[in-house]
Amino acid sequence: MIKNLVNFPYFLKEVVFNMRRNLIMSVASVSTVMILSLILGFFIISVMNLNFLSRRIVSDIQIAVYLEDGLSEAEVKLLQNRIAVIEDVKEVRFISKEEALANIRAKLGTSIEIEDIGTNPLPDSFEVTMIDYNKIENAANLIKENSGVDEVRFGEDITKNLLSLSAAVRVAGVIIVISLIAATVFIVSNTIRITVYARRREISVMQLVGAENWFIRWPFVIEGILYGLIGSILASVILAAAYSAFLPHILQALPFLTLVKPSALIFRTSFMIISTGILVGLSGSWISVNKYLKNFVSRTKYYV
Amino acid sequence: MIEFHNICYTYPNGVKALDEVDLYVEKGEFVFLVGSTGSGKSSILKMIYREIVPTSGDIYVNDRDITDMKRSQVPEFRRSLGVVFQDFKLIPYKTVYENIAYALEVTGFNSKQIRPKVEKALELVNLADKAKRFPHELSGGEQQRTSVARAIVADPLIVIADEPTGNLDPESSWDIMELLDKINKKGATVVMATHNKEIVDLMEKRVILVTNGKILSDEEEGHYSVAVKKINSITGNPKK
Repeated sequence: MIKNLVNFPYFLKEVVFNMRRNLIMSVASVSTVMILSLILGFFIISVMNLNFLSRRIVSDIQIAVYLEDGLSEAEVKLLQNRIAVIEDVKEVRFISKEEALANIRAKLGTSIEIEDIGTNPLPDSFEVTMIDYNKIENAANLIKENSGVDEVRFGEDITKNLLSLSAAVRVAGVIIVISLIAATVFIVSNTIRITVYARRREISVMQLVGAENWFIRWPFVIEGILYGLIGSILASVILAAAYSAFLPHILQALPFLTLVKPSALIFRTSFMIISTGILVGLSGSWISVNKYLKNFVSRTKYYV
Repeated sequence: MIEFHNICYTYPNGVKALDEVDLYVEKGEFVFLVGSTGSGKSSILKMIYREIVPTSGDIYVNDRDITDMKRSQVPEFRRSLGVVFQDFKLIPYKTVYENIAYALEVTGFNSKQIRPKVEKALELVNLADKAKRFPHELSGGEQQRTSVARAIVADPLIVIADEPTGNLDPESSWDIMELLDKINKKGATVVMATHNKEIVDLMEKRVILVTNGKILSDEEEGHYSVAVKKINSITGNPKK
Protein backbone atom coordinates (compact mmCIF):
# COMPACT_ATOMS: atom_id res chain seq x y z
CA MET A 1 0.00 0.00 0.00
CA ILE A 2 2.86 2.37 0.89
CA LYS A 3 4.49 1.52 -2.44
CA ASN A 4 1.21 2.44 -4.14
CA LEU A 5 1.12 5.82 -2.40
CA VAL A 6 4.74 6.59 -3.29
CA ASN A 7 3.90 6.03 -6.94
CA PHE A 8 0.66 8.00 -6.78
CA PRO A 9 1.98 11.10 -8.62
CA TYR A 10 3.28 8.84 -11.40
CA PHE A 11 -0.09 7.03 -11.59
CA LEU A 12 -1.98 10.31 -11.73
CA LYS A 13 0.27 11.61 -14.51
CA GLU A 14 -0.31 8.38 -16.47
CA VAL A 15 -4.07 8.54 -15.86
CA VAL A 16 -4.43 12.14 -17.03
CA PHE A 17 -2.26 11.41 -20.06
CA ASN A 18 -4.24 8.28 -20.97
CA MET A 19 -7.59 9.98 -20.48
CA ARG A 20 -6.53 12.75 -22.84
CA ARG A 21 -5.03 10.36 -25.35
CA ASN A 22 -8.12 8.14 -25.40
CA LEU A 23 -10.48 11.09 -25.25
CA ILE A 24 -13.32 9.38 -27.11
CA MET A 25 -13.21 6.33 -24.85
CA SER A 26 -12.97 8.58 -21.80
CA VAL A 27 -16.03 10.53 -22.91
CA ALA A 28 -17.85 7.25 -23.64
CA SER A 29 -17.04 5.89 -20.18
CA VAL A 30 -18.06 9.09 -18.40
CA SER A 31 -21.29 9.26 -20.44
CA THR A 32 -22.11 5.64 -19.64
CA VAL A 33 -21.70 6.25 -15.93
CA MET A 34 -23.65 9.49 -16.21
CA ILE A 35 -26.63 7.97 -18.04
CA LEU A 36 -26.82 4.98 -15.72
CA SER A 37 -26.43 7.27 -12.69
CA LEU A 38 -29.29 9.40 -14.02
CA ILE A 39 -31.54 6.33 -14.25
CA LEU A 40 -30.36 5.20 -10.82
CA GLY A 41 -30.94 8.67 -9.38
CA PHE A 42 -34.38 8.85 -10.94
CA PHE A 43 -35.31 5.59 -9.23
CA ILE A 44 -33.82 6.66 -5.91
CA ILE A 45 -35.81 9.92 -6.04
CA SER A 46 -39.00 8.05 -7.00
CA VAL A 47 -38.58 5.48 -4.23
CA MET A 48 -37.81 8.18 -1.67
CA ASN A 49 -40.93 10.12 -2.69
CA LEU A 50 -43.14 7.03 -2.69
CA ASN A 51 -41.84 6.11 0.74
CA PHE A 52 -42.40 9.63 1.96
CA LEU A 53 -45.94 9.62 0.58
CA SER A 54 -46.90 6.27 2.04
CA ARG A 55 -45.41 7.23 5.41
CA ARG A 56 -47.34 10.50 5.30
CA ILE A 57 -50.63 8.72 4.59
CA VAL A 58 -49.99 6.02 7.16
CA SER A 59 -49.09 8.58 9.84
CA ASP A 60 -52.52 10.16 9.35
CA ILE A 61 -54.13 6.91 10.41
CA GLN A 62 -55.43 6.87 13.97
CA ILE A 63 -57.33 4.45 16.14
CA ALA A 64 -60.68 5.86 17.15
CA VAL A 65 -61.78 4.43 20.51
CA TYR A 66 -65.46 5.10 21.26
CA LEU A 67 -66.40 4.92 24.93
CA GLU A 68 -69.56 3.67 26.56
CA ASP A 69 -71.89 6.27 27.91
CA GLY A 70 -71.87 7.20 31.52
CA LEU A 71 -68.23 6.66 32.44
CA SER A 72 -66.97 8.81 35.27
CA GLU A 73 -64.05 11.19 34.77
CA ALA A 74 -61.87 8.91 36.88
CA GLU A 75 -62.80 5.87 34.79
CA VAL A 76 -61.99 7.77 31.58
CA LYS A 77 -58.62 8.86 33.00
CA LEU A 78 -57.84 5.30 34.06
CA LEU A 79 -58.73 3.97 30.61
CA GLN A 80 -56.60 6.66 28.94
CA ASN A 81 -53.61 5.64 31.07
CA ARG A 82 -54.12 1.95 30.26
CA ILE A 83 -54.17 2.62 26.53
CA ALA A 84 -51.15 4.92 26.77
CA VAL A 85 -48.96 2.13 28.18
CA ILE A 86 -49.76 -0.28 25.31
CA GLU A 87 -46.63 -1.00 23.22
CA ASP A 88 -45.94 1.46 20.38
CA VAL A 89 -48.78 3.82 21.30
CA LYS A 90 -47.55 7.38 20.85
CA GLU A 91 -50.39 9.52 22.13
CA VAL A 92 -53.91 9.12 23.50
CA ARG A 93 -56.06 12.20 23.15
CA PHE A 94 -59.46 12.45 24.81
CA ILE A 95 -62.27 13.92 22.73
CA SER A 96 -65.42 14.69 24.63
CA LYS A 97 -68.79 14.31 22.97
CA GLU A 98 -69.05 18.12 22.95
CA GLU A 99 -65.73 18.48 21.18
CA ALA A 100 -66.77 15.78 18.69
CA LEU A 101 -69.95 17.67 17.91
CA ALA A 102 -68.01 20.88 17.50
CA ASN A 103 -65.70 19.09 15.09
CA ILE A 104 -68.64 17.86 13.04
CA ARG A 105 -70.13 21.32 13.01
CA ALA A 106 -66.84 22.73 11.79
CA LYS A 107 -66.50 20.04 9.12
CA LEU A 108 -70.04 20.37 7.82
CA GLY A 109 -69.97 24.12 8.06
CA THR A 110 -73.58 24.22 9.32
CA SER A 111 -74.95 25.11 12.65
CA ILE A 112 -76.56 22.00 14.06
CA GLU A 113 -78.15 22.74 17.38
CA ILE A 114 -78.66 20.12 20.09
CA GLU A 115 -82.22 21.22 20.21
CA ASP A 116 -82.69 20.10 16.60
CA ILE A 117 -81.68 16.53 17.31
CA GLY A 118 -82.73 16.22 20.91
CA THR A 119 -79.56 15.04 22.62
CA ASN A 120 -75.91 14.85 21.47
CA PRO A 121 -75.71 11.37 19.92
CA LEU A 122 -71.91 11.32 19.79
CA PRO A 123 -69.93 9.33 22.33
CA ASP A 124 -66.80 10.35 24.20
CA SER A 125 -63.73 8.97 22.44
CA PHE A 126 -59.94 8.71 22.31
CA GLU A 127 -57.76 9.41 19.29
CA VAL A 128 -54.80 7.04 19.48
CA THR A 129 -51.68 7.70 17.37
CA MET A 130 -48.99 5.06 16.93
CA ILE A 131 -45.19 5.00 16.88
CA ASP A 132 -45.09 1.93 14.65
CA TYR A 133 -48.10 1.57 12.40
CA ASN A 134 -47.34 -2.06 11.71
CA LYS A 135 -48.49 -2.75 15.29
CA ILE A 136 -51.81 -0.93 14.89
CA GLU A 137 -53.97 -4.05 14.69
CA ASN A 138 -52.43 -5.55 17.80
CA ALA A 139 -52.92 -2.30 19.73
CA ALA A 140 -56.55 -2.04 18.57
CA ASN A 141 -57.26 -5.56 19.83
CA LEU A 142 -55.72 -4.80 23.23
CA ILE A 143 -57.76 -1.60 23.52
CA LYS A 144 -60.94 -3.51 22.69
CA GLU A 145 -60.44 -5.80 25.68
CA ASN A 146 -60.83 -2.93 28.19
CA SER A 147 -64.17 -2.46 29.88
CA GLY A 148 -65.77 0.87 29.12
CA VAL A 149 -64.69 0.62 25.44
CA ASP A 150 -67.69 0.43 23.16
CA GLU A 151 -66.06 0.26 19.74
CA VAL A 152 -62.58 0.53 18.15
CA ARG A 153 -62.03 1.63 14.56
CA PHE A 154 -58.83 2.12 12.61
CA GLY A 155 -59.75 1.55 8.97
CA GLU A 156 -58.33 -1.98 8.96
CA ASP A 157 -58.44 -2.59 5.21
CA ILE A 158 -56.96 0.74 4.18
CA THR A 159 -54.22 0.50 6.81
CA LYS A 160 -53.26 -3.01 5.80
CA ASN A 161 -53.19 -2.11 2.11
CA LEU A 162 -51.17 1.00 2.72
CA LEU A 163 -48.69 -0.78 4.92
CA SER A 164 -48.19 -3.59 2.44
CA LEU A 165 -47.90 -1.06 -0.42
CA SER A 166 -45.29 0.86 1.51
CA ALA A 167 -43.32 -2.33 2.20
CA ALA A 168 -43.63 -3.41 -1.46
CA VAL A 169 -42.36 -0.02 -2.66
CA ARG A 170 -39.36 -0.35 -0.37
CA VAL A 171 -38.54 -3.92 -1.47
CA ALA A 172 -39.08 -3.14 -5.18
CA GLY A 173 -36.95 -0.02 -4.79
CA VAL A 174 -34.08 -1.97 -3.24
CA ILE A 175 -34.30 -4.67 -5.95
CA ILE A 176 -34.37 -2.10 -8.78
CA VAL A 177 -31.50 -0.09 -7.31
CA ILE A 178 -29.35 -3.22 -6.77
CA SER A 179 -30.09 -4.47 -10.32
CA LEU A 180 -29.22 -1.05 -11.73
CA ILE A 181 -25.94 -0.98 -9.81
CA ALA A 182 -25.11 -4.49 -11.08
CA ALA A 183 -25.95 -3.46 -14.66
CA THR A 184 -23.82 -0.32 -14.28
CA VAL A 185 -20.83 -2.32 -13.00
CA PHE A 186 -21.24 -4.71 -15.95
CA ILE A 187 -21.51 -1.98 -18.58
CA VAL A 188 -18.75 0.16 -17.08
CA SER A 189 -16.40 -2.81 -16.73
CA ASN A 190 -17.00 -3.64 -20.39
CA THR A 191 -16.39 -0.06 -21.46
CA ILE A 192 -13.18 0.05 -19.44
CA ARG A 193 -12.19 -3.35 -20.81
CA ILE A 194 -12.14 -1.77 -24.27
CA THR A 195 -9.66 0.83 -23.05
CA VAL A 196 -7.63 -1.92 -21.36
CA TYR A 197 -7.71 -3.96 -24.57
CA ALA A 198 -6.52 -0.94 -26.54
CA ARG A 199 -3.52 -0.85 -24.23
CA ARG A 200 -2.76 -4.58 -24.14
CA ARG A 201 0.60 -4.04 -25.84
CA GLU A 202 1.56 -1.59 -23.17
CA ILE A 203 0.54 -4.07 -20.46
CA SER A 204 2.63 -6.82 -22.06
CA VAL A 205 5.64 -4.50 -22.22
CA MET A 206 5.09 -3.55 -18.58
CA GLN A 207 5.05 -7.21 -17.59
CA LEU A 208 8.18 -7.90 -19.61
CA VAL A 209 10.18 -5.12 -18.00
CA GLY A 210 9.19 -6.45 -14.59
CA ALA A 211 6.21 -4.34 -13.52
CA GLU A 212 4.22 -5.92 -10.74
CA ASN A 213 0.52 -6.45 -11.25
CA TRP A 214 -0.49 -3.75 -8.76
CA PHE A 215 1.67 -1.26 -10.66
CA ILE A 216 -0.12 -2.12 -13.90
CA ARG A 217 -3.52 -2.19 -12.23
CA TRP A 218 -3.49 1.08 -10.29
CA PRO A 219 -3.56 3.59 -13.18
CA PHE A 220 -6.54 1.72 -14.66
CA VAL A 221 -8.32 1.62 -11.31
CA ILE A 222 -7.72 5.33 -10.68
CA GLU A 223 -8.98 6.01 -14.21
CA GLY A 224 -12.12 3.96 -13.46
CA ILE A 225 -12.70 5.83 -10.20
CA LEU A 226 -12.35 9.15 -12.04
CA TYR A 227 -14.85 8.07 -14.73
CA GLY A 228 -17.27 7.04 -11.96
CA LEU A 229 -16.73 10.26 -10.04
CA ILE A 230 -17.08 12.62 -13.00
CA GLY A 231 -20.08 10.73 -14.49
CA SER A 232 -21.94 10.58 -11.19
CA ILE A 233 -21.23 14.22 -10.26
CA LEU A 234 -22.62 15.30 -13.64
CA ALA A 235 -25.69 13.09 -13.10
CA SER A 236 -26.20 14.53 -9.59
CA VAL A 237 -26.05 18.09 -10.87
CA ILE A 238 -28.54 17.32 -13.66
CA LEU A 239 -30.90 15.51 -11.27
CA ALA A 240 -30.72 18.29 -8.66
CA ALA A 241 -31.43 20.95 -11.27
CA ALA A 242 -34.25 18.94 -12.86
CA TYR A 243 -35.92 18.08 -9.54
CA SER A 244 -35.76 21.69 -8.29
CA ALA A 245 -37.11 22.93 -11.61
CA PHE A 246 -39.94 20.42 -12.04
CA LEU A 247 -41.17 20.07 -8.46
CA PRO A 248 -43.18 23.34 -8.36
CA HIS A 249 -44.87 22.40 -11.65
CA ILE A 250 -45.79 18.91 -10.38
CA LEU A 251 -47.15 20.33 -7.13
CA GLN A 252 -49.12 22.92 -9.04
CA ALA A 253 -50.64 20.29 -11.32
CA LEU A 254 -51.31 17.81 -8.49
CA PRO A 255 -51.96 19.96 -5.40
CA PHE A 256 -53.07 17.03 -3.22
CA LEU A 257 -49.57 15.50 -3.47
CA THR A 258 -46.90 16.17 -0.90
CA LEU A 259 -43.38 15.42 -2.14
CA VAL A 260 -39.96 15.57 -0.56
CA LYS A 261 -38.40 19.05 -0.63
CA PRO A 262 -35.34 19.35 -2.93
CA SER A 263 -33.14 20.49 -0.04
CA ALA A 264 -33.93 17.32 1.91
CA LEU A 265 -33.47 15.02 -1.05
CA ILE A 266 -30.62 16.34 -3.20
CA PHE A 267 -27.83 15.86 -0.67
CA ARG A 268 -28.82 12.29 0.15
CA THR A 269 -29.42 11.31 -3.47
CA SER A 270 -26.16 12.90 -4.65
CA PHE A 271 -24.26 11.15 -1.88
CA MET A 272 -25.76 7.80 -2.91
CA ILE A 273 -25.18 8.35 -6.64
CA ILE A 274 -21.62 9.62 -6.26
CA SER A 275 -20.56 6.88 -3.86
CA THR A 276 -22.17 4.32 -6.18
CA GLY A 277 -20.38 5.93 -9.15
CA ILE A 278 -17.01 5.68 -7.43
CA LEU A 279 -17.70 2.09 -6.39
CA VAL A 280 -18.85 1.18 -9.89
CA GLY A 281 -15.79 2.79 -11.52
CA LEU A 282 -13.47 1.07 -9.09
CA SER A 283 -15.00 -2.39 -9.34
CA GLY A 284 -15.56 -2.09 -13.10
CA SER A 285 -11.94 -1.26 -13.83
CA TRP A 286 -10.64 -3.73 -11.25
CA ILE A 287 -12.65 -6.57 -12.80
CA SER A 288 -11.66 -5.76 -16.39
CA VAL A 289 -7.96 -5.16 -15.81
CA ASN A 290 -7.71 -8.27 -13.61
CA LYS A 291 -9.32 -10.38 -16.30
CA TYR A 292 -6.85 -9.00 -18.79
CA LEU A 293 -3.85 -9.55 -16.53
CA LYS A 294 -4.90 -13.18 -16.05
CA ASN A 295 -5.66 -13.62 -19.75
CA PHE A 296 -2.29 -12.27 -20.67
CA VAL A 297 -0.43 -14.73 -18.49
CA SER A 298 -2.35 -17.76 -19.67
CA ARG A 299 -2.54 -16.65 -23.32
CA THR A 300 1.18 -16.23 -23.68
CA LYS A 301 1.88 -19.35 -21.71
CA TYR A 302 1.75 -21.61 -24.73
CA TYR A 303 3.49 -19.54 -27.40
CA VAL A 304 6.54 -21.15 -29.01
CA MET B 1 24.44 -18.32 -14.83
CA ILE B 2 21.78 -20.17 -16.88
CA GLU B 3 21.21 -23.90 -16.39
CA PHE B 4 18.62 -26.11 -18.07
CA HIS B 5 18.36 -29.58 -16.53
CA ASN B 6 16.52 -32.13 -18.63
CA ILE B 7 13.88 -29.66 -19.82
CA CYS B 8 10.76 -30.91 -21.61
CA TYR B 9 7.94 -28.75 -22.80
CA THR B 10 4.73 -30.09 -24.29
CA TYR B 11 1.86 -27.99 -25.58
CA PRO B 12 -1.64 -28.72 -24.28
CA ASN B 13 -2.38 -30.36 -27.68
CA GLY B 14 0.40 -32.90 -27.02
CA VAL B 15 3.03 -31.54 -29.43
CA LYS B 16 6.53 -31.56 -27.94
CA ALA B 17 8.35 -28.21 -28.20
CA LEU B 18 11.43 -29.16 -26.18
CA ASP B 19 12.71 -32.64 -25.47
CA GLU B 20 15.23 -33.33 -22.69
CA VAL B 21 17.21 -30.15 -23.18
CA ASP B 22 20.36 -29.64 -21.09
CA LEU B 23 22.00 -26.26 -21.43
CA TYR B 24 24.65 -24.38 -19.46
CA VAL B 25 25.59 -20.78 -20.10
CA GLU B 26 28.41 -19.24 -18.06
CA LYS B 27 28.53 -15.67 -16.79
CA GLY B 28 29.71 -13.26 -19.49
CA GLU B 29 29.16 -15.65 -22.41
CA PHE B 30 27.67 -14.68 -25.77
CA VAL B 31 25.52 -17.51 -27.12
CA PHE B 32 23.66 -17.84 -30.41
CA LEU B 33 20.66 -20.14 -30.56
CA VAL B 34 20.10 -21.14 -34.17
CA GLY B 35 17.55 -23.36 -35.83
CA SER B 36 14.56 -23.21 -38.14
CA THR B 37 11.19 -21.69 -37.19
CA GLY B 38 9.41 -23.88 -34.65
CA SER B 39 12.64 -25.63 -33.67
CA GLY B 40 12.20 -24.60 -30.04
CA LYS B 41 14.77 -21.82 -29.70
CA SER B 42 12.15 -19.20 -28.82
CA SER B 43 10.73 -21.59 -26.20
CA ILE B 44 14.18 -21.74 -24.62
CA LEU B 45 14.37 -17.94 -24.48
CA LYS B 46 10.84 -17.67 -23.10
CA MET B 47 11.76 -20.10 -20.38
CA ILE B 48 14.79 -18.01 -19.41
CA TYR B 49 12.62 -14.92 -18.81
CA ARG B 50 9.88 -17.15 -17.40
CA GLU B 51 7.18 -16.41 -19.91
CA ILE B 52 6.58 -20.16 -20.04
CA VAL B 53 7.29 -22.88 -17.52
CA PRO B 54 8.67 -26.30 -18.55
CA THR B 55 6.50 -29.40 -18.30
CA SER B 56 9.37 -31.16 -16.54
CA GLY B 57 12.95 -30.38 -15.53
CA ASP B 58 14.57 -27.53 -13.64
CA ILE B 59 15.88 -24.16 -14.78
CA TYR B 60 18.32 -22.06 -12.75
CA VAL B 61 18.97 -18.46 -13.67
CA ASN B 62 21.41 -16.45 -11.53
CA ASP B 63 21.50 -19.46 -9.17
CA ARG B 64 17.76 -19.24 -8.68
CA ASP B 65 15.35 -22.08 -9.41
CA ILE B 66 12.80 -20.31 -11.61
CA THR B 67 10.61 -23.33 -12.33
CA ASP B 68 9.09 -23.32 -8.85
CA MET B 69 8.97 -19.55 -8.65
CA LYS B 70 5.70 -18.00 -7.45
CA ARG B 71 3.92 -15.75 -9.92
CA SER B 72 4.38 -12.81 -7.55
CA GLN B 73 8.17 -13.25 -7.69
CA VAL B 74 8.34 -13.08 -11.50
CA PRO B 75 8.37 -9.24 -11.86
CA GLU B 76 11.30 -8.86 -9.51
CA PHE B 77 13.14 -11.68 -11.32
CA ARG B 78 12.54 -10.10 -14.73
CA ARG B 79 14.19 -6.90 -13.62
CA SER B 80 17.49 -8.78 -13.51
CA LEU B 81 17.09 -9.47 -17.26
CA GLY B 82 16.87 -7.35 -20.36
CA VAL B 83 14.83 -8.60 -23.31
CA VAL B 84 15.00 -7.46 -26.95
CA PHE B 85 12.41 -8.57 -29.53
CA GLN B 86 12.20 -8.76 -33.27
CA ASP B 87 9.20 -6.39 -33.26
CA PHE B 88 10.86 -3.95 -30.81
CA LYS B 89 7.79 -3.79 -28.53
CA LEU B 90 8.05 -0.04 -28.04
CA ILE B 91 5.10 1.98 -26.79
CA PRO B 92 4.10 4.11 -29.78
CA TYR B 93 2.91 7.20 -27.92
CA LYS B 94 5.97 7.46 -25.70
CA THR B 95 9.16 9.17 -26.86
CA VAL B 96 12.47 7.33 -27.08
CA TYR B 97 13.43 8.75 -23.69
CA GLU B 98 10.09 7.78 -22.13
CA ASN B 99 10.22 4.27 -23.56
CA ILE B 100 13.61 3.71 -21.95
CA ALA B 101 12.65 5.44 -18.70
CA TYR B 102 9.55 3.23 -18.52
CA ALA B 103 11.62 0.18 -17.61
CA LEU B 104 12.88 2.07 -14.57
CA GLU B 105 9.57 3.72 -13.67
CA VAL B 106 7.88 0.36 -13.21
CA THR B 107 10.56 -0.62 -10.74
CA GLY B 108 9.82 2.43 -8.61
CA PHE B 109 12.76 4.70 -9.45
CA ASN B 110 11.99 8.43 -9.27
CA SER B 111 12.67 10.80 -12.15
CA LYS B 112 15.90 12.15 -10.57
CA GLN B 113 17.35 8.65 -10.40
CA ILE B 114 16.05 7.79 -13.85
CA ARG B 115 17.55 10.68 -15.84
CA PRO B 116 21.29 9.84 -15.59
CA LYS B 117 20.65 6.13 -16.25
CA VAL B 118 18.55 6.84 -19.36
CA GLU B 119 21.07 9.38 -20.65
CA LYS B 120 23.86 6.83 -20.24
CA ALA B 121 21.84 4.20 -22.13
CA LEU B 122 20.98 6.70 -24.89
CA GLU B 123 24.65 7.51 -25.31
CA LEU B 124 25.55 3.84 -25.49
CA VAL B 125 23.08 3.20 -28.30
CA ASN B 126 23.98 6.53 -29.95
CA LEU B 127 20.48 8.01 -29.82
CA ALA B 128 21.03 10.97 -27.49
CA ASP B 129 20.00 13.39 -30.25
CA LYS B 130 16.74 11.52 -30.87
CA ALA B 131 15.55 11.24 -27.27
CA LYS B 132 12.44 13.30 -27.92
CA ARG B 133 11.38 11.46 -31.09
CA PHE B 134 8.48 9.02 -31.18
CA PRO B 135 9.05 5.44 -32.43
CA HIS B 136 7.23 6.11 -35.73
CA GLU B 137 9.70 8.91 -36.45
CA LEU B 138 12.63 6.48 -36.28
CA SER B 139 14.09 3.93 -38.68
CA GLY B 140 13.83 0.22 -37.84
CA GLY B 141 17.43 0.18 -36.68
CA GLU B 142 16.90 3.17 -34.43
CA GLN B 143 13.76 1.59 -32.97
CA GLN B 144 15.70 -1.56 -32.19
CA ARG B 145 18.50 0.46 -30.63
CA THR B 146 15.86 2.10 -28.41
CA SER B 147 14.64 -1.34 -27.46
CA VAL B 148 18.23 -2.41 -26.64
CA ALA B 149 18.67 0.73 -24.53
CA ARG B 150 15.48 -0.15 -22.63
CA ALA B 151 16.79 -3.68 -22.10
CA ILE B 152 20.10 -2.56 -20.63
CA VAL B 153 19.11 0.62 -18.78
CA ALA B 154 18.71 -1.21 -15.47
CA ASP B 155 22.14 -2.91 -15.86
CA PRO B 156 20.83 -6.46 -16.19
CA LEU B 157 23.09 -9.48 -15.71
CA ILE B 158 21.55 -11.25 -18.70
CA VAL B 159 20.32 -9.86 -22.03
CA ILE B 160 18.00 -12.05 -24.09
CA ALA B 161 17.47 -11.17 -27.73
CA ASP B 162 14.82 -12.96 -29.79
CA GLU B 163 15.69 -12.42 -33.48
CA PRO B 164 16.65 -8.79 -32.86
CA THR B 165 17.85 -8.33 -36.45
CA GLY B 166 14.90 -10.12 -38.05
CA ASN B 167 13.24 -6.89 -39.26
CA LEU B 168 16.39 -4.92 -40.05
CA ASP B 169 18.57 -4.23 -43.10
CA PRO B 170 22.16 -5.58 -42.97
CA GLU B 171 23.69 -2.29 -41.87
CA SER B 172 21.26 -1.79 -38.99
CA SER B 173 21.67 -5.45 -38.08
CA TRP B 174 25.40 -4.90 -37.65
CA ASP B 175 24.77 -1.85 -35.49
CA ILE B 176 22.67 -3.99 -33.20
CA MET B 177 25.24 -6.77 -33.14
CA GLU B 178 28.00 -4.31 -32.28
CA LEU B 179 25.84 -2.99 -29.48
CA LEU B 180 25.13 -6.45 -28.09
CA ASP B 181 28.84 -7.25 -28.34
CA LYS B 182 29.68 -4.06 -26.45
CA ILE B 183 27.13 -4.93 -23.75
CA ASN B 184 28.59 -8.43 -23.54
CA LYS B 185 32.13 -7.06 -23.18
CA LYS B 186 30.89 -4.88 -20.31
CA GLY B 187 30.00 -8.08 -18.48
CA ALA B 188 26.43 -9.01 -19.40
CA THR B 189 25.63 -12.54 -20.55
CA VAL B 190 23.91 -12.43 -23.96
CA VAL B 191 21.68 -15.17 -25.36
CA MET B 192 20.37 -14.47 -28.84
CA ALA B 193 18.13 -16.48 -31.14
CA THR B 194 18.64 -15.79 -34.83
CA HIS B 195 18.29 -17.03 -38.41
CA ASN B 196 20.98 -14.72 -39.67
CA LYS B 197 23.80 -17.02 -40.90
CA GLU B 198 26.13 -14.19 -41.84
CA ILE B 199 26.02 -12.60 -38.42
CA VAL B 200 26.54 -15.90 -36.62
CA ASP B 201 29.47 -16.84 -38.82
CA LEU B 202 31.19 -13.47 -38.55
CA MET B 203 30.73 -13.03 -34.82
CA GLU B 204 32.43 -16.35 -34.05
CA LYS B 205 30.66 -16.91 -30.74
CA ARG B 206 29.24 -20.03 -29.15
CA VAL B 207 26.56 -21.49 -31.43
CA ILE B 208 23.84 -23.88 -30.24
CA LEU B 209 21.76 -25.56 -32.92
CA VAL B 210 18.22 -26.46 -31.90
CA THR B 211 16.18 -28.79 -34.10
CA ASN B 212 12.84 -30.39 -33.28
CA GLY B 213 13.13 -29.38 -29.64
CA LYS B 214 16.59 -30.94 -29.16
CA ILE B 215 20.05 -29.47 -29.00
CA LEU B 216 21.93 -31.07 -31.89
CA SER B 217 25.20 -29.19 -31.73
CA ASP B 218 26.93 -26.82 -29.35
CA GLU B 219 30.24 -25.25 -30.48
CA GLU B 220 32.52 -22.57 -29.12
CA GLU B 221 33.34 -20.00 -31.84
CA GLY B 222 30.95 -21.90 -34.05
CA HIS B 223 29.55 -21.20 -37.48
CA TYR B 224 25.93 -21.51 -38.55
CA SER B 225 26.67 -23.26 -41.84
CA VAL B 226 29.21 -25.62 -40.27
CA ALA B 227 26.74 -26.60 -37.57
CA VAL B 228 23.98 -27.22 -40.11
CA LYS B 229 26.28 -29.17 -42.44
CA LYS B 230 27.49 -31.30 -39.57
CA ILE B 231 23.96 -32.17 -38.59
CA ASN B 232 22.96 -32.87 -42.17
CA SER B 233 25.83 -35.31 -42.48
CA ILE B 234 24.64 -37.10 -39.34
CA THR B 235 20.98 -37.14 -40.28
CA GLY B 236 21.56 -37.69 -44.01
CA ASN B 237 19.62 -34.54 -44.89
CA PRO B 238 20.80 -33.45 -48.41
CA LYS B 239 19.97 -29.73 -47.81
CA LYS B 240 22.95 -27.38 -47.43
